[in-house]
Amino acid sequence: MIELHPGLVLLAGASVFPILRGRMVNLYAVGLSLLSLLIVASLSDGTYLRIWFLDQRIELLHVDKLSKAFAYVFCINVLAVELFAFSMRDRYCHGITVAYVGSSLGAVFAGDLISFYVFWELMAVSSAFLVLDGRTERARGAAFRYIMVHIFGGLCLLAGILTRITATGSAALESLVDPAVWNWLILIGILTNAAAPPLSAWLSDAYPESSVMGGVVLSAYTTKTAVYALARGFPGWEILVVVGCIMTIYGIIYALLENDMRRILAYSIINQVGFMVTGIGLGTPMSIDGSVAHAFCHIIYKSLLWMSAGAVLFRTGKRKCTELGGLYRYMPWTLFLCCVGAVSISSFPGTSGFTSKSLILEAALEENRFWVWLVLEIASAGVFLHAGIKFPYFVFFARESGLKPKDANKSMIMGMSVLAFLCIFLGLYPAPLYNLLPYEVIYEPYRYPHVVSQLQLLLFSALAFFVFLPLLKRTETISIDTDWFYRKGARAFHKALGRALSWGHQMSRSFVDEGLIPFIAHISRDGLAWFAPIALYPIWMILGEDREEAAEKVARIQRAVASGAVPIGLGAAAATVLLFILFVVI
Amino acid sequence: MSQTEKGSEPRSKRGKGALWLALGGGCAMTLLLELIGQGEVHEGLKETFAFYAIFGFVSCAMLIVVAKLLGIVLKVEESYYD
Repeated sequence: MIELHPGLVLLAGASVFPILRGRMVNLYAVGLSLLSLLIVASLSDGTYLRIWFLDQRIELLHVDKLSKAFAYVFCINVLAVELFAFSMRDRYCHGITVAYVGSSLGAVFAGDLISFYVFWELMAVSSAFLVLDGRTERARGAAFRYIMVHIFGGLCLLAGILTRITATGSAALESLVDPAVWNWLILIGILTNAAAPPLSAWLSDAYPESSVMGGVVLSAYTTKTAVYALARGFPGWEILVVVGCIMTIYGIIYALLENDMRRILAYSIINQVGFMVTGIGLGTPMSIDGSVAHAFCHIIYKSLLWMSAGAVLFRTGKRKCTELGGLYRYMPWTLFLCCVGAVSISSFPGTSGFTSKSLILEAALEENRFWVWLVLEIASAGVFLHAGIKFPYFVFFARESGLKPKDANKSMIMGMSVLAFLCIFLGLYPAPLYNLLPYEVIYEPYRYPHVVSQLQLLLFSALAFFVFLPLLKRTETISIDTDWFYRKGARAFHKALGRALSWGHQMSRSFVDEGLIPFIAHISRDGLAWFAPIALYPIWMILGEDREEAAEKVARIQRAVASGAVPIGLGAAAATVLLFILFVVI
Repeated sequence: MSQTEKGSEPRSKRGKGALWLALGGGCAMTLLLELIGQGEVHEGLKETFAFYAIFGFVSCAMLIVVAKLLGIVLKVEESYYD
């Protein structure tokens, strides 16, 4: 039986969008998404679509439990996104979305580093176009910075892959246990896409600048493909525990400082990916299962949150918390569905976040990694603070903004409802999720102590939020992040380069204008007056003329040169001597 | 640096009262549930009664204060990069 590649189907299908019009765009996009999900469901474990390229075996379709878990959620999510955006006729955005998801599936199913790299870069290019879909000056700037950072990450990845193939002769995408330089380069390339600090600012810079639909799509794929790649290649790398823990806290602090609702959610992605990266770094079957399960659930509830933010943006045209508030009366469905996403990301018992994140924390405890567990617990409380309460509270409650928008339209509510249902379903009945995970899970999240302690943690976190509310007043500001180095740094470099070139220009101009040209003019005018006596004086001495006569002749020659009346014979003699000297020298 | 601060208080006194009541009730309920389940709730480090309550509150308070302090340095006008 010939296995179809869901990623290639989507990439090929994306090329049809330019000829579609009206509702056909949406019907086709939904149909294509559904088809990709069915193809993934039909795939059985194994390696298919093998070709030889540059003496390397390329495996375009490598199916196992890890790749299939990510592929499932990628396809479910794109289906929900297409339902959400069913009223949006923009074939450009739908086409790029399908190509982006197709590239992500390509990377997830790649069985070798070469095809992985090709799909990885296709993903970077298509996602940059999704950022551009914001169609504003800010979106253009953000897309430029986005692609520059991803070029850096992509080059690190490419350098690592090429040096690895050269050194080991193998391009297989497998567990990279050897801490060789090429594996470190590959790791840097992947961590760039995972938005690990300091290479993280691109995410909060770019995603919020995209369109309503673009933002939802972007929130799911690039970082989670990176999580997949880490789980595939770097399980148990201790550095990932450190990086992951930093990401969890970094995301919370910046989300608390933010005023833009979509930037709050963008920082929240970094926080959540931090949990996954930590789980992979711990490297036990339970922690890796936890990371995969958390990536699965995170894609669903984070898309839901981005959809609710998108619906608010779609209806009000506002993004800042300072301009929003009091929308609960006018957008009750959006509020309800947003709250499902908010409690899920906060890991409330009964939601998908609870059944997935608990695995990672449990794994940290089992490994006696107290400090890792402590940081993750602090971060769990912090998640509820920024994504669970701050985002819905400031957007839907807080104060009367004067805005009276309509609720989200039917298709938006339909898309959000699908994801909200999954949040609750996987929270109450996690068995289907656990069955998808790479290792066998023997874990029961609904233990009385665990449920009570989690409820205690979250409710007292909420209490802290409202007690310290005066410290959380929203301000019309942005926060300096690591992009400062290339945003301000690039300008400073540009300025410094301009000054250096200007100085060089001045220096060369003064050297040429005031030094070289006057010197050449001087030599041209008076050179003969100096040169002829030097050349002729020894001849006169040989011919027996005395010093006074010779001095008189020199003076006569200098007068003749100054007045431009040099005898022809003298000029010819000087030229002959000069040529002779040149001949001897050369 | 001029930072426009906007009110963050709940909309009305009634709403505020209901919010505190619900929150206080919820918190008290979790403590009660822990008391009821004495002997089951405690695991390893979490020996102390109301450990997660204190941990959650203190962690969040700490995060808010740290964010507030960092905000003094990190927060800039929206036109900072323009």
